[in-house]
Amino acid sequence: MIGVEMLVKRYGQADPVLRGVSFAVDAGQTTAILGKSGVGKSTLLRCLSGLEGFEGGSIIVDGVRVRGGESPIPLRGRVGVVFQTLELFPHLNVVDNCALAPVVVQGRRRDEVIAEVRALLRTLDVEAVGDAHPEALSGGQRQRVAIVRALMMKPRVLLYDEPTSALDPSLKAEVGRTVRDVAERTGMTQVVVTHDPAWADAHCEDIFVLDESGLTKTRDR
Amino acid sequence: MLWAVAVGPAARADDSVDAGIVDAEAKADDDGVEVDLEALPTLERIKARGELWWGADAHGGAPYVFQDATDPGKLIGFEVDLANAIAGRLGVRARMVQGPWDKLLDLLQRKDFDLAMNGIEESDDKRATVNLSKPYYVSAQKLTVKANDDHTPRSLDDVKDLPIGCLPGSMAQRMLDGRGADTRAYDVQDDIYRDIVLGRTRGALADEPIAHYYGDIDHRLRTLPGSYGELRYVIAYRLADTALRDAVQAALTDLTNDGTLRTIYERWGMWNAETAAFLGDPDPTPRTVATGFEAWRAAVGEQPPFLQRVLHRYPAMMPMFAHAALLTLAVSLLAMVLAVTLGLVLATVRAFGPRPLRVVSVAYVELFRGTPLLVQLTMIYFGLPELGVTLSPFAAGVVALGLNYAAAESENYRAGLLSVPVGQIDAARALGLSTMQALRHVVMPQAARVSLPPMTNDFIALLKDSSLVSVVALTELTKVYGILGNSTRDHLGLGVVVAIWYLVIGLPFVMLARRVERRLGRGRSRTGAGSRR
Repeated sequence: MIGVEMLVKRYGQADPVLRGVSFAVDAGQTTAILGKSGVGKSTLLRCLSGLEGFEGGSIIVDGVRVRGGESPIPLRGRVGVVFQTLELFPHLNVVDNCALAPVVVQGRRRDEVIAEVRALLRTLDVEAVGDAHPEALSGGQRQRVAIVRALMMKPRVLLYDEPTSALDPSLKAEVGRTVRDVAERTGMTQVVVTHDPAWADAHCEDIFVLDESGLTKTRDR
Repeated sequence: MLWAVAVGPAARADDSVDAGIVDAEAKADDDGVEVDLEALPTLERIKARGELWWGADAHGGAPYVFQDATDPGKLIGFEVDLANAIAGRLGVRARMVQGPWDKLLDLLQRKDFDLAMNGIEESDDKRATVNLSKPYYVSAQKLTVKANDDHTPRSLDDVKDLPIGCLPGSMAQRMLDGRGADTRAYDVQDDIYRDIVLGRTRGALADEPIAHYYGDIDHRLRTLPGSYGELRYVIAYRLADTALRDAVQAALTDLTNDGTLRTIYERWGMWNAETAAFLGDPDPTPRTVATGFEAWRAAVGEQPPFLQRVLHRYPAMMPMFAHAALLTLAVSLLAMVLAVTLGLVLATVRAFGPRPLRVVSVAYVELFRGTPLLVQLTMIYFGLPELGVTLSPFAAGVVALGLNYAAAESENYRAGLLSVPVGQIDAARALGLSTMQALRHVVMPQAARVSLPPMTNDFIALLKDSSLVSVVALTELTKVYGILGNSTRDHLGLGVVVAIWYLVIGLPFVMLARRVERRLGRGRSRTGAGSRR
């Protein structure tokens, strides 16, 4: 489903942040990438999602391969991202947040897209907030909306960037339920970048650890 | 239709309804003809057009060219009579074109009118750039002081170090400077005399007709008996227009010989020994009552009660103010459209463009923000023709205001763009939106919330700054206020009227902006917490 081979990423002339990272994620699995801050977790996520190019190696998502030095744009949309800060669009209501990209990027009919958005909101139990603006939502609702927004582009894999950072234990558990709900109800392949081993242990199947030497698989279910 | 306002003359001296004001309908008819006329020599163009366009400044006031205080839509004055008489001899009609007095010779070069006639003093330095006629009126400078005051100067020999008022660039100013006076130059005649009464100055030195019309009508002032210097009013033509000069000169000779000229000067109380001698008339004593002067004295010597002005005078001025307000609004709206469009491009380029374009954007903003609008406007209107680009007054006003305000708008929008977190662009890109799509659908709508309030503010500022376009011969609200104020000496009451006009045309936009702000602000708290957790 998603394969990374010998990925090398550096900023300017500095030492590489990622030096030859390789891993593979199976379809339908929820995989955690663990690591301390500063080891390049976020950089890895930005490369995977097509937000940044890279210097060496390659990334394959659902048969599409991008090599070092090539434009990463083909990855966008194939990889959905749930940002740490979610980045819902504050000027749009929930439905419009989720409908924007399918309508603008894919040129799909708005009424058809909206029907799909509402169905997906229902799947993740947030259909009631469809007409609200993001600021009126709870943290958990916002996260589910951000997931629906990413899923609307029909990505092959969904990436989460530190979804539990700065949350208290009960909210962390809610994030865990959300990730499991997505897996059970949509069958989506998910990769969660986190620094929280206990949370990864409780809610993810495969676990990789990223450190200076590279990426090591520590659990395989 | 708006652009038709821009082209050519701003007023017709013979039209009692819209004198002093641009007439869009009338001008629209001219435009088609004007292009064909362009190639003709000036005199033939005047005949083909059926109109002599003469440049003057109604802001200068009595007795030259001014609005009739008892019938404010009507343009009167001895030069109006003179222009009509000359035009009659040429077999055409006269049309007065409004322009600022100290810019009349520049406007003449720009071909905004055929000749300039507005108390222009004969002087050698003018001959380098324009053709001057023989004088049509001769007089001297008169010193006016406060009446019943023993400490006022008694002659021009006493003015050293004293504050004395005069018109800028006039012979009076040169004479005062030469005698070491503390010279105070005023743009408006009425102000010169008002300040003597108020004690701000100790006297005024001005052309005899001005002293007569603004000094002698006030019992608190006294014009001293002596005369200083010899002052000759001449008509200015473009250097090439010798045929026109000769034709007008022939007309003036005819008007002298048949007594028309003398009749005009007597009517306005201006017939004097100097002019009589110059014109070869043996009789310097007026034979008839100066009806023009008496009417002026009766109308402005004592202001009518305020209520009477509100009920009669101000309503009569409505058409002039309404025309001017429309022009102000049109210039401002079009300038704002230009400013917003260009400002948006500049801000976007600066925030997201490649480095060379960013440098251009920064340079533009600093250049236009850092230099006075008046300088830019003057360069565009009077400077660009040297490079072969001659804009109409309206277009020059719109372009200058638009280019200037684009710099301010650009900074507004940049502030708005910077207020949108970079994560929002990441989110849009991750969803597959292109940079342009992200800007259009995600960044701009959020930036607008930040940029709109200062933008409304800028529009109101622009509306007021549009008063500067009167230097390029556009008769907008502030100019009409100046003209009517000087013609009626009613500065306070008319000030209130013009203030109301500005508020009336500005308020709808303020209200519209508030509505849009509320719409944009929907679903957003005051803290702008957005989607942060």
